[in-house]
Amino acid sequence: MTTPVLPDTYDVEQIVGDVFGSFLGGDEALPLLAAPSTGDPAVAACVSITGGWSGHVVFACSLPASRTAAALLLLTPEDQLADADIADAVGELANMIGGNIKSLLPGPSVLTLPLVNIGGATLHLPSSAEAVRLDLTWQGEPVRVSVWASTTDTQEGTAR
Amino acid sequence: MSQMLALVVDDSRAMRMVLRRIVGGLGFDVVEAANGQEAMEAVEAGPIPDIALVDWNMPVMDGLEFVTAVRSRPELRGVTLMMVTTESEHGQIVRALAAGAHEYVIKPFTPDAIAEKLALLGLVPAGSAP
Repeated sequence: MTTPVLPDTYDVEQIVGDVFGSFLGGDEALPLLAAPSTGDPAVAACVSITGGWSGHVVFACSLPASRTAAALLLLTPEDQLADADIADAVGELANMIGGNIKSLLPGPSVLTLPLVNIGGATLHLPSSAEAVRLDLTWQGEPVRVSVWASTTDTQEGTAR
Repeated sequence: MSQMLALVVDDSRAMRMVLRRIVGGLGFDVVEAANGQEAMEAVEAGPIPDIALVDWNMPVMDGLEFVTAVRSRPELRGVTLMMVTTESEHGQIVRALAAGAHEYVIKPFTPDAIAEKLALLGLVPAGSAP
């Protein structure tokens, strides 16, 4: 049995750059690599992948970053955004990032709808282990994308 | 001449807004639906759209089910169907096209990419910009 190769941080950075460049302000507003952060961001959205490879992709950011992203996507002033708007916007970012990461993994596989958590409660991803983490800074705020491989799957993968 | 009508089908309001801005900027009137079932209800209530831009992963009725449902209805044969989705596996693209989708756009996309696809479908002049 061969072990599938997971996307590395460069792959993930390219995908995040494509998504942010397309929808959140163009090339001048691309996220920058940042020193790894030890804190858990306040907003997190998770999409799960099942099939040829099984695991999760989590997009997380600070509350200010989530509000800025939602305002740009919805063309709505930040002070008029509801939590549902922020959840929708962050969930769609997770969907696009996760979908593109899925395309680099063995298939066929299925992508779930995003699960979004606002307010700092930790997302619980049972039977999985973080395999890739990318910490970025966007508009001066922390953004993190992580890939979690299922530990019950026989094809756990290795970071390349 | 009446404006053409685009139906944007996506469970994300943010993505519907993005697509509304793009196709609206290309001269379409725009209606929205949050899933395939809402989209079918909109189509049945009329007016029939010229094009539907359809996400794949949605609750209630997904995009592939919507495409299949539209193609099963002879009176809707004039509706052009464009998938706009993160799903990029070759097998899924083949399934969508076999079900009756005319074009397939993978997220993330640029406004110009949508305009180019609409031009290929003959719905806007080549070189149109949102």
